[in-house]
Amino acid sequence: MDTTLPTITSPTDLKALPPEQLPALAEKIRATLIETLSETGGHLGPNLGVVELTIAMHRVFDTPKDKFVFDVAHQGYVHKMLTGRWDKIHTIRQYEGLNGFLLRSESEHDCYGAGHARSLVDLCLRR
Amino acid sequence: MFEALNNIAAHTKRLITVLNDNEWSIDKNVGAIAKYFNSIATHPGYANLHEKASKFVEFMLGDGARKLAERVENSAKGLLLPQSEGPHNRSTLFEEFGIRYYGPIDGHDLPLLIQTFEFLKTQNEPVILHILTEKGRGYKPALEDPSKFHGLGKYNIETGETQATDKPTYSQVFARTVTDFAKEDKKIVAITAAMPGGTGLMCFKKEIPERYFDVGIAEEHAALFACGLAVQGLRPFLTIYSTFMQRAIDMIIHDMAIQHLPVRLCMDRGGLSGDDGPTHHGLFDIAYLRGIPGLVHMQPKDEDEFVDMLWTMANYEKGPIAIRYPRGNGPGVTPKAQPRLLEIGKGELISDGTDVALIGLGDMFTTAQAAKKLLEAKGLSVALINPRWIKPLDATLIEDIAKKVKVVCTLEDHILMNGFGCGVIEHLSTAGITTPVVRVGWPDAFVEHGTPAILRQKHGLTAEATVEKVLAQLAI
Repeated sequence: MDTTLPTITSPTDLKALPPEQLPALAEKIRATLIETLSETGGHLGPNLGVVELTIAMHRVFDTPKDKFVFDVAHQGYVHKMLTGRWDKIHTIRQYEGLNGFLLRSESEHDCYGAGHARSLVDLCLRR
Repeated sequence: MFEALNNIAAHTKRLITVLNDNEWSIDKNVGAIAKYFNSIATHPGYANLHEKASKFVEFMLGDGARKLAERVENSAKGLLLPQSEGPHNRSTLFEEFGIRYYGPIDGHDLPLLIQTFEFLKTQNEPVILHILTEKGRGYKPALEDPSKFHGLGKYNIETGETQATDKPTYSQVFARTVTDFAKEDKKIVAITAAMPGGTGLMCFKKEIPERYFDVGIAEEHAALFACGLAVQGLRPFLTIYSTFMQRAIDMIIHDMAIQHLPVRLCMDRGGLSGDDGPTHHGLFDIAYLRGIPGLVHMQPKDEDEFVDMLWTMANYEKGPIAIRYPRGNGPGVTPKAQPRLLEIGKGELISDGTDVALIGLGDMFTTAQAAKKLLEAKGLSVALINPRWIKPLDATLIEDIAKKVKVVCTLEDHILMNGFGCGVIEHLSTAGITTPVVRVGWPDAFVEHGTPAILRQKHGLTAEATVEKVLAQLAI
């Protein structure tokens, strides 16, 4: 793992990262998820699948101005890590820790918390 | 879903929908839509580009034409939408709704994703980007068993092994039992909404595939489908978590109950879900079902009674009949060899008493047992009841015991508001019995996530908290 990577505490930190460091970041996120969830349990498979997607979304768009809705929101662990909650990811699904889904009360970057699937397209209607 | 797509095309501008196509939702995706995406993803003809796609290429060309051309050539998946052609109109479902479709692209190719989003950001219309990803990417055990690694507890990093439990879960008991029943009774069918793993129904699928139906994440449809099968004289076991059954409430009232269709509603995770939190707690099913005329609802105190209840459901033909059972293990009572039919609406008086009557529903029965011991240690005479039936209540049993004791106490793994205890209060009030009723259950609030032990402690669903409530009432 690349230990020279700076700590990512916000989407701004992510945007400041040189493009050549992004693959190392993806690797670090995966390693963190695999290690952390081995202790806490959680939705590992879905989140390992969306590492690059979530990085790309936060590189290009600006939450909370731009709204990300995850259907379903158990795919939001990487999003949580990139939006100021990396240091709390070990508390995921633990009492008083991070919720396993997106949660409006948890971060301004979580604009919608959907735990049941298939609600996304219905929510995104706005001119 | 289609109504929403239709509405989006008509009323929405800047919306990028990413279709994360990993071939899985929780278990393997099923049905025509899954096949349809597969046909797009594997289609070789990416030569003809629609007008918008041409603009996309122009945009990308500005940023390293050679690199892009290589990527297009090298990628077996291709970059852009295949044009409609031949008898199979491939112009995609989404375009039919007026939503521009891009893809499929490799969802693990970061530079490509970033470039694509930069382009899509400039589009002033709803678009959909179809990406192909691997569930469990970068971790061998998760790639080898995507269903297991969708969501799980602790595991060994090296091997991916999870801790084996010594007792079977309620889900396992359910699936084994219904599969065995179905082998003897050809009318039994099992329905799941994309949860063959979670509900345990994988074994039904393997052993009796012709009577197993996974309809995808579409609970409303699952409920209507079950109604249709019941009309045909089949015996559907509609297996949906309590929290997801909420979606099917109209079908349960309008289609099942009004027409007295014998659909078996099997609600796994009935009770606190725990670490998934408020979106997944199954704490509302009594509230949303108990007002439906004629609907039978029950909860077993242990695995043996669970099997008796399932047998009773299999043989019940008068209308919809529901059961709730908790996540995880029960107390570990091995079911007897032959299940027996239970009399509907007949509870079980475990022990008689004159001071306090504890009525412990389902998984709260063990809590009631523990509270009984604590109260007896204080010199009180305590009756213990296993109610079995949420609806219809065992009126005679509850009236008789309420007349004998000074306090009735109900315990349920459900919200107090409109829960089992409310049914008891309503009944006693109507019968003119004034014995006070204290209730143990979840508060009128969305309960947070955490382990059941921590949350039960916090919200007073323990034997100790029960004793406190009872003693406080006795002191009045």
